[in-house]
Amino acid sequence: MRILCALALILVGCAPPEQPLPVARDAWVRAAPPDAGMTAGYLTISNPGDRPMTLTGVRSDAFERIELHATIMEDGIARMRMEEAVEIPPGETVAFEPGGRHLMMFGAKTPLGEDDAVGLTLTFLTGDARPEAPLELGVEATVRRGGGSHAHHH
Amino acid sequence: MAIARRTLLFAVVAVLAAALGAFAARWSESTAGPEKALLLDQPRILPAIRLVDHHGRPFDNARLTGAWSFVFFGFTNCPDVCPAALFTLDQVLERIGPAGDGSTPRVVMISVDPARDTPQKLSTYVPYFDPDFLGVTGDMPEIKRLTDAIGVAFAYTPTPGSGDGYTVDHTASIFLFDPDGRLSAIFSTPHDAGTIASDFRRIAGGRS
Repeated sequence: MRILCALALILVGCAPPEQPLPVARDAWVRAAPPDAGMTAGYLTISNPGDRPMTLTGVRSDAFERIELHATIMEDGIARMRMEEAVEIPPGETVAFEPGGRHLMMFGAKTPLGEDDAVGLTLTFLTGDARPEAPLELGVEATVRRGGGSHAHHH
Repeated sequence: MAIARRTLLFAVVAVLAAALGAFAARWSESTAGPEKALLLDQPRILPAIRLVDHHGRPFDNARLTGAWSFVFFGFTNCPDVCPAALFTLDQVLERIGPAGDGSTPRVVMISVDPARDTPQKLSTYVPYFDPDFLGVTGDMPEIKRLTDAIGVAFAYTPTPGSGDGYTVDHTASIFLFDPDGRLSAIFSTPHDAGTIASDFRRIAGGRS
């Protein structure tokens, strides 16, 4: 039901759900060498509601598989770790950004060029329903070259 | 055993970092130092390097001479830190532009994952960021000798459940070598193209 409502909201709008939808902004995918096998995606996700939301997964028709990862810098050493899920506390924004949290995107199905659009589907648990039905949010990301800083503009 | 070795590795890196910190503190007492880069008091001479570039040609110490070199240690199965560093270095070169004699600094990515990063793999990866960038790989003992000499740590970590098999934890600093092929300065993360370019001008301007 929530999925239908989320889809309906994207298309024509519908009655506001009890809990506002998460808001995803500034989504981009780093341009990568054609046979790199993987690249990274970035975005910010806000939770305008008053209950925690949990991002449990991301998928895209353009990639074989997408995982939630985080780069952790310790004593100048970069370590990459997979995360099962990412909680977005009520009223807060979580940033996926270079050198930090990112979407680890495996196996681009077709070569991606700069300015190409990549459709992402984000899956959330919102703690609303029992048994809980996942909420899905469609986001469009843009492919671009990007370094470690100032890659992200508002 | 693996943990003990890793601990030792990190201990060695910590000692090196402390030593470099002492050098940096001494340097900062003078005036025209770089803003963020760690400038070595004495440029460090490298041990003999016997590696191979992405064209399959030998990569030895002479390949780091005749121009300044930015060197990054990374691996191609790295979606976040490594491509970000290479894009940033491309921006650094744009900002620096050619020197008075027309030379530009070179950029070299040395793999810390030689099992996956063959010269062939590097040849389709590294030049994507800039056609002049060079990828370098080689036998593990040769890579270890170089990384140990300049204080780069790396370790393999299995990634169960991930599509990747294993990932490589590694020092993400950018290393600057002078035209004599000696380690001259270290840029730690986060990497900002503007800061690296202006620090490079100060370092190269003070030395050439």
